[in-house]
Amino acid sequence: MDMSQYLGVFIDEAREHLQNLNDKLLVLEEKTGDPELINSIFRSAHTLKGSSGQMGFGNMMELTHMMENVFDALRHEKIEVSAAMIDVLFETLELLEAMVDSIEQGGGDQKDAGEVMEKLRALAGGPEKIHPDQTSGTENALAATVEKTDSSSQNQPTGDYDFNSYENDMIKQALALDMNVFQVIVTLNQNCVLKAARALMVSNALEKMGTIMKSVPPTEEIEKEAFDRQFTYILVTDQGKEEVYDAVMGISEIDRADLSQIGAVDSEKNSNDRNEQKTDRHKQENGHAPSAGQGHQAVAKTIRVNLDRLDHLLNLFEEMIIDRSRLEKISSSLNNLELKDSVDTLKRISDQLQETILNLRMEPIEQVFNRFPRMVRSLSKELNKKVKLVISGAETELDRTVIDEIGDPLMHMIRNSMDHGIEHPDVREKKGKSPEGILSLKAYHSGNHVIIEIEDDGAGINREKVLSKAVEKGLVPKESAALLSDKDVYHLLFESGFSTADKISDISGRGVGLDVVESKIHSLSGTVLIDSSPDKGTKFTVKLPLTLSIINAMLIQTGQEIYAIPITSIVETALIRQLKIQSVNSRQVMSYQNRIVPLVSLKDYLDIPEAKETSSIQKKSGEVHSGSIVLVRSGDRLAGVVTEKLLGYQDIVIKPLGRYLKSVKGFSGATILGDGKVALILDCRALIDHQKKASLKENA
Amino acid sequence: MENMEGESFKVILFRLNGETYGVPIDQVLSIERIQPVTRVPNAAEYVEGVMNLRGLIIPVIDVRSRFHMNRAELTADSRIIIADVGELQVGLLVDSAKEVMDIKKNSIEKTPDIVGGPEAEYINGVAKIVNDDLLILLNLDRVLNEEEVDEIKRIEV
Repeated sequence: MDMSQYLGVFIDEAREHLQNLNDKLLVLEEKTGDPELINSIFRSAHTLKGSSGQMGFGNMMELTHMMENVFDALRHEKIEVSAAMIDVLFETLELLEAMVDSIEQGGGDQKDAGEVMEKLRALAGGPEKIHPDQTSGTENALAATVEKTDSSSQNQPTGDYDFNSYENDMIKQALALDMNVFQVIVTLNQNCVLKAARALMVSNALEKMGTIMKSVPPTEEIEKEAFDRQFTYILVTDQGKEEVYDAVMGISEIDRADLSQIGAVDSEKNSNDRNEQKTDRHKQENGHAPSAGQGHQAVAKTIRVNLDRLDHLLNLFEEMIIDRSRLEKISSSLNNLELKDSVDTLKRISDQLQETILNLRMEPIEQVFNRFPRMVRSLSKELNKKVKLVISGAETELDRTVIDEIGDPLMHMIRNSMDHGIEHPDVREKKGKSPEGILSLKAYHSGNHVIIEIEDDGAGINREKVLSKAVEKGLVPKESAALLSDKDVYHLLFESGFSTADKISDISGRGVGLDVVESKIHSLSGTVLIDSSPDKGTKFTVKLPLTLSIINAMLIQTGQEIYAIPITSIVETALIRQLKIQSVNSRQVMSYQNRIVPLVSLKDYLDIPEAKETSSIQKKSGEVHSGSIVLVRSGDRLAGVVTEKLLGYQDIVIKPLGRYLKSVKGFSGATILGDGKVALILDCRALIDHQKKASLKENA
Repeated sequence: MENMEGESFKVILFRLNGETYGVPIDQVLSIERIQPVTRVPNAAEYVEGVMNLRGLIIPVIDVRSRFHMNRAELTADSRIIIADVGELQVGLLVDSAKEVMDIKKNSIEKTPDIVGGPEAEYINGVAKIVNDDLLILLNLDRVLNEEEVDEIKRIEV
């Protein structure tokens, strides 16, 4: 039986079960005696054991089996939950996860599990041999005997079976060669969950000893679990009855195996029997279908699609968007009504198409959040702190690419909050706080963005400490230190090489950390903000775009050059003559909602050469008389970008500038315009940073 | 490879500042006529800008300026050679690019010191072609990756 096609399903299911175990174990630590919970954990472990066995991953099966034994002992109240036990169980889960990872990457499940297995064995109570049947077998003893009687009447272990002439010939040949032909009737345990898996293990064991000539029901039905508890193999082998019996009984969850030797066959008699048996089996199937189909015959509501295909689809769509804008341009210049109508329709449809395609790539952030509870648990032990993790909004959806990338930055911030933010229990009590710190992880949608907040109720950031460190490291000139706002100071934590931890710990404070976080988030076109108040706590707010590849942007022109500004960075646009421009310290500023906003001349910022026809509106650099302003935002800082013309909003496809130009600052990518030319996309964060630095320098 | 001295390989020839240069044909994706190139502010001086090559954004470098020669005027002969080295695709702006030529491996001299002009480290060797003309074989890996090396160093600090 070729299992490779089920591998994907197996891996997904295994991950689900491991996640479930993971979640439930965390709860178990709190509610130690909940029998319902323990049962649910047991079932998950049990299923995992079965499916790994079915796929032929013996190591994994053995390990889950050992784990299952622990749960079984718990279930029967032979042992009690302890923190040490949970630790071992988590260790086991980690190992199992590593196995699944290795299997997914095309490797096997070979991992050194000896030590963990030893610990599990000790937990389960004494050096128990791996024979699962004993544990559950006793319960079934009664039921099994009842079953036995009616099963034997159904299928007498005698030689008469429905063989066709080819099979008869085979039997004759085998007998002529002095080989044995056995009819092996296998009866599974009553509460055997993965019957197909067991059947496969039986057939694997038998194939090792000889050839399986025939199986009843046929292999396909066995694979679909379309049988009750009993199946029959006809085995041609040179081994004796005893060996075959032992081989079958060596497999777990087998209730009994009946062997009988087949001699020469009377074919006529069989054909009668066959009809009878067929109808018989039909009844049996119908009667048991619902229970047999558990979990396996769920109606498929979803299909699995390779991510590469989705990427390809998106690429094709991007090509289309570029040509669509070309069409729009042509249509507007031709002024043909019919063409215009058609282009409008095309635009509407492709807008819907875009939404659909992008939705295909969305996944809940849950899969990232899921790994944090365990991390927080082990980290709080390591740090000797009490931390309660509260997660909300795990169902919030994000683009797949973002999901893949955001895990590590979040982990870093959580570590940081636990290490530097939340205080030791005794310190907390002195401050009149509950000894248990609360770390909340929250995700939600806001417009075209997803916001992720990581908030702790710890000590907060010490402004003075950060500042003195920053001055010491030369990140901030001493004179301007006092001018920085609290937020600017907090943001210094993201500067590279910055660490305020008094002692360098294992968890964070290795100098790499938050600066990596920020650069990663920026590479995803996101931003991160810190807010903090002393003894109340610290909050990281990560803002990420919903999608990465197609955005709406304002195109602006200065001189001969066209640039794009993502709409998500734009607060407002205005004509300069409508605004009051003032000069402060020889810098131009405007006021916007009672704030003084610095102006950045695009021409100066990007050294744009003077247009050839010198009808230029800006005569002297730096002095603004006409043109337009795009008010842009990065985090909570604003700047007005001065440009000659606004060309309007357009959907653009973001293309990376590529490795060769990756050291070039100031742009988050490039896009291809309707006329085939390339326009660069302005990185407003870099622009505002640039402006900020320039003014700091001047003030200092 | 060393054993097959007599073997020849194909080289794309191009002209720069009156000299003939060559790059192996397997490092060249295509040769394009001059088309609009968008200036990239803040980039190195020799970066001419970026162009749209059938939906891909390709950086274009001015090879003359890369080798500290004076910039040339664009002419009808000017071409952009799209080079593909490793994972990098970069356009090389050259004065002209017309021929493909078979070069015998044993005709290449590994003595870069005899050549002035572009820094010798960017050169794989020199070969004599017709009329005693010299062909300078460029080491594209170096020409294109030099900046890359700096970049990596900076990150690791």
